[in-house]
Amino acid sequence: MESKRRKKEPVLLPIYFKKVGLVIMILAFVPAIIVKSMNVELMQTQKELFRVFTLNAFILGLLLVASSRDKVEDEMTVAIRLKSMSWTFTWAVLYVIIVPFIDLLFKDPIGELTGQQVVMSMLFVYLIMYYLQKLGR
Amino acid sequence: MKNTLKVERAKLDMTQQQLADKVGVSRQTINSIEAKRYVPSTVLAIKISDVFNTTVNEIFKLEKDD
Repeated sequence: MESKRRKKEPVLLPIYFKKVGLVIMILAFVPAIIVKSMNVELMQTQKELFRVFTLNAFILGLLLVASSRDKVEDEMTVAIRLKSMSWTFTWAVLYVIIVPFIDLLFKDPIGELTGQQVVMSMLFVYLIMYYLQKLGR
Repeated sequence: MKNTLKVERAKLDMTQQQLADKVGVSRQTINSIEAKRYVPSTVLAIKISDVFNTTVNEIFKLEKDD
């Protein structure tokens, strides 16, 4: 019965990936901080490369934190994860619908809607909802 | 869904953590069940009733709005 139940649980990474994810999130900003502190002049393409690297590494870190196991994984954490996923999906849809209107109304305060923005906000919402629900239990 | 989990635990002088360890869930899950914030699955309900040597119906009872 235990093995059948395990098959129904979401596939998650081992718990130590939470720490790996946090380290990647912190390290993502290191190159940008070093370049900034050394006052190095970068070309536009190099700046863009740094931006892409920092954002992608940060997103990867968030993903690892979000998709790693908790100390105790049971049916309630599965239920909480499912609820958080539902909130995240709703958030993503609302974000994609509302952001263009905000851009139009307030003359581009957020800038162009990118996939990275959406994914990063989704991961943030997922983690916030997950830990808020866990705290409330 | 109301339950008599707290009473059953008290009868055996068992802590939430001890019950959680016996049925393979976290202490928070047991706490949530006792506080009626979470309704356990059938499998977990049977495991809990097995610990107290009783039936699921003796521990978990439907309320009017269920």
